[in-house]
Amino acid sequence: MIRRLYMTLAGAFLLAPLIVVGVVAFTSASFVSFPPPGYSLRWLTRVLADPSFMRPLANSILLGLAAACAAAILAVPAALALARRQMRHAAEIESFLLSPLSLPALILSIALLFYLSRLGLGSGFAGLFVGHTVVVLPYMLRTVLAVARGVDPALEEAAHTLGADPWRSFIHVTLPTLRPGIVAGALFAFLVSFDEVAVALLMSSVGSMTLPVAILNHVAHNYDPAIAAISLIKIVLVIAVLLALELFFGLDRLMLSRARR
Amino acid sequence: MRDSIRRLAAASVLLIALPVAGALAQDKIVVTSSGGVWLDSAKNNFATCFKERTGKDPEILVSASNEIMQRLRASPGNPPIHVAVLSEIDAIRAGQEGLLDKLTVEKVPNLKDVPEVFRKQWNDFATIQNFGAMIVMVNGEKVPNPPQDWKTLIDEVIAGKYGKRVSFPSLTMPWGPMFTWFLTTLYDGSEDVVFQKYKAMLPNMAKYWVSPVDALNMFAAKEIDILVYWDGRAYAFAEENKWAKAYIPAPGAFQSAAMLAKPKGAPELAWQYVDCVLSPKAQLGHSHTVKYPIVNSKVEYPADLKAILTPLEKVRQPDFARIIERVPNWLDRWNREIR
Repeated sequence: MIRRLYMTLAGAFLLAPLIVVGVVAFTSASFVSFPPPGYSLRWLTRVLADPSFMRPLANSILLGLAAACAAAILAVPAALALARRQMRHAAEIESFLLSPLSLPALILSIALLFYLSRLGLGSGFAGLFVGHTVVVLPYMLRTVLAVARGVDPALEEAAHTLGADPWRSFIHVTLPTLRPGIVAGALFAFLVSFDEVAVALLMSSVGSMTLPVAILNHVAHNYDPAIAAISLIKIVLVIAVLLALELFFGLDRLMLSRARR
Repeated sequence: MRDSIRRLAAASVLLIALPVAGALAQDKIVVTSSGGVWLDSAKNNFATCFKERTGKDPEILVSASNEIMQRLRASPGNPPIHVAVLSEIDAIRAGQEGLLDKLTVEKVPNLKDVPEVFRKQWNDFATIQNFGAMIVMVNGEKVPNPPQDWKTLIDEVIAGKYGKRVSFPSLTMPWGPMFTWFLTTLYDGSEDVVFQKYKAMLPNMAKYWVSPVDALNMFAAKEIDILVYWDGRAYAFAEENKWAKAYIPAPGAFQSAAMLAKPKGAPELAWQYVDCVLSPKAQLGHSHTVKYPIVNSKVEYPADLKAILTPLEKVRQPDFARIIERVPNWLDRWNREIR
């Protein structure tokens, strides 16, 4: 009984802000108020037709996908090396690769801005892409590394014994065994990038502005409920991606190792 | 197998190279603006003028002053922003740090119609493009006869006459130090008295506001009856909501301004945009849109607009050198005594 009550309260605590956002998105009023005096689709319609929200939304999706892919390309070899090789200073290298997690986001963003500006990449999609890859790399590395450490090296040895060259065994044996970590890491990486604001605030240009920055800019100068409407669209989008993954692939199947299924 | 690996590698390289190439291809004038009506005005007034003169569209980046400063500091001499709108203090600092070009009449012909008072404190490294003042908004239904001067208002808030339905700006918001400076001018320059007043008002203060949007939302939702706020937004709100009133308590208010500057290393074309911003036609259009006074002395306001703009004689321009010097101490006091 107490457990059920606790779970209900915890659920309500987590869901309440989302419900408020969802309800306010349908308000007919010109300013944010709860409960709304009336209901209307005016703010959702306005936001969906507004390129100052839709273009950043597309940028955020593209950036999230690109950063997640780049993080996977970097994290998989790093995780394999850390998990399998008897390297000197392996712990230090792992800590270094995870270090973006330990820095305050704003400090990291200022450091990236100053560094990438010297390379001519301080403002625009390229800088954002590099910055977000740095930010999401630890999430990808952690999940892939956790899976890689649990994989039996004998599987690859068996593939070699049966005649597979290193690339073939990597594609057909190693990658499938790492898949749960890569998929889980990519999901985390995409969501972290999709929500990231500190790096994007300092490094986005007009054409590469991301959705969180567009929302922040709007909040700073407007008091209308368009912000609730775009937030609702964002929430629905994330839920839709998770549902699609569940429907077509099964989240359990993607994120649990073969051995555990 | 090798083909599929090559394809995978090629796709990876493309994925990384395309955004890089896209970024390197950028070759436009980038100007900054605040969001909301400010962005509307930049598009409709300044960018239109710039396009008429040069045939080019500027890229308008919505960005706050402190973010612009970081970007300029990160790329001295090769700025990613070519015309910047800065806060007053940031404009002074940017000039001192060598990040800005000096404005001259040769480069910006319309500058000759901008009175010196709008540029002097910035040594011509920046000019005010428009100014405003912090005034008082009231719910006319709840407070039909608001106090006509600042000191009475503050004393009545302390006495609890309006309950806990009042909101003043916090010292920690960007223009908070300027508001504090203005209050010191009401109390013979005494910082101690101002902080005593801040503290005494605290029990009857709904909130010392930091976010302008939160503040206006509180007022719009009728959670508070008195709000100290910017004149342009206050008048625009009162125009749409008949229950709301806006007025300037005696003896006036402090000048709050948006500063226009060209970062050092920005292309010469940027001067054209600066000149457009200061041109009489764009200035009047800007004033119409944002409901703030502008600085080109050739502009004549129509009567309806003039009626809601704070006249220059009612605003006091802060002493920024003193404010920059005092801010660390004020913040320390605020955090210890008020927060």
